[in-house]
Amino acid sequence: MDNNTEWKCMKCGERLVPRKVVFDYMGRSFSEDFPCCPKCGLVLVPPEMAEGRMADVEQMLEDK
Amino acid sequence: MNPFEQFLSAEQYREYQLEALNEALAYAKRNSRFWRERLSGFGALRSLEELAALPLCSARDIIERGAAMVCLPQNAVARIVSLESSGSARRKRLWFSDGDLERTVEFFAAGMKYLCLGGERAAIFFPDNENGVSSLLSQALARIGVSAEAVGPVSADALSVPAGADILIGLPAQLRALALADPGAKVKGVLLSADYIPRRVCELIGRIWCCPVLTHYGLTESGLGCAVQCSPGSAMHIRHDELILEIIDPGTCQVLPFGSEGEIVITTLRREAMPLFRYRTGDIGALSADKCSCGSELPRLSYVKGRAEELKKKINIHILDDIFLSRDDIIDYTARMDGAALAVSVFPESAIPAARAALAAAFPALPARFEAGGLFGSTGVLKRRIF
Repeated sequence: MDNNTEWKCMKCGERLVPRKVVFDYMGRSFSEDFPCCPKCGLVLVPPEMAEGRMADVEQMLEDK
Repeated sequence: MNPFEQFLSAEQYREYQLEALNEALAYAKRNSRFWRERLSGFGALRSLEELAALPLCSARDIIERGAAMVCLPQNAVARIVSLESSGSARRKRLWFSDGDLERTVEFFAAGMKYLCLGGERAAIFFPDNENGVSSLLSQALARIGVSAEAVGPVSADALSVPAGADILIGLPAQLRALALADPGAKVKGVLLSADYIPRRVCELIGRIWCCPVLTHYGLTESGLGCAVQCSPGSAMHIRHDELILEIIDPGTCQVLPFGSEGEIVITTLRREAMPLFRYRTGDIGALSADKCSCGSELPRLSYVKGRAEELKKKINIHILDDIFLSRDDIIDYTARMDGAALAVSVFPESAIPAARAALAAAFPALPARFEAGGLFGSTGVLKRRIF
């Protein structure tokens, strides 16, 4: 995803702005800035993040 | 249905399994892209023998297409377990629903009744992860009135049995080291799991603590639980309500009869999140059709000899475990290949001459070096290996 792409929330029509988002998984929390809708809170997780660092961290925590 | 409390005849179980298997096949084809493709052209089975006609699947399928095997939406998945897989840089991921985890807890509760009495206290020497082995075992033990504490892997700094623990559950090499280091502990029972279990390790622990030592065989793919002994030295009762086990020739992939040694293949019957049909475990073992002394007439898992990949090597960790871990004077060891030579670290150092002699007796021509060290080269739930 191009960093300069301007994303809008389809529901609210608002431009997404970077906000700190907290993720909880397997009893751990992480926070990171993601583009969010200032009105409804929708978070855009860029594919490279979902399939890259987030997937790596998820798998590290998924021990049996 | 609980395989341990209702002694159905083998024939009644086969009827149940055939019905459950056909339901599972239909469910998987309806809900999973992978299984729809893999099982296309296969209709309902008329007998359990027809299972052998279905294609096998392997760790590679899970690594490459695991997500397409999942039958539930992501929000119905309660737990994913990621595992390192030998021979691949990518991890295997296994999906479980709440119902899948609940049935594992039921199995653990039924199995642990063989070892525990209500009011006893158990120490679980596995890592304590959310909805992981320790947590599911603790829930199971609570159901049979046993309080459990997840104490984590045995540590070299704390080689003593936790105060008040009656029942110990953990890896064979770790609990064996604990028995040698703390022989006076008042242990009432031991369950070994999660790695190859040399028969003589069970005998050694049982002799030191004068208590029953039972073994459990399970893998994440089987829903963590798979088969457990009801008495020391016996074949293991299989989780028949949830799994069908086959033994195949790893070369020809033909199904082998009871008593023959080969690769263990599992089929899940009630898995909601990620059913597996004819999954090659990579473990070598044998099934038995003999009636158990407890009265059960159902097939059992006679023994698990180790991982096929390891057993192909002349010098492998299972053979080394058989050589070193059957001795009282060696508390632990680790081994690594150093060119053509085997480098063995032994704990305690005073056991090095005995370790050298034991290895030379088994492999006279093998160049080997010995040094002090070797306590808990594998920790947590990682399987032992030659480094």
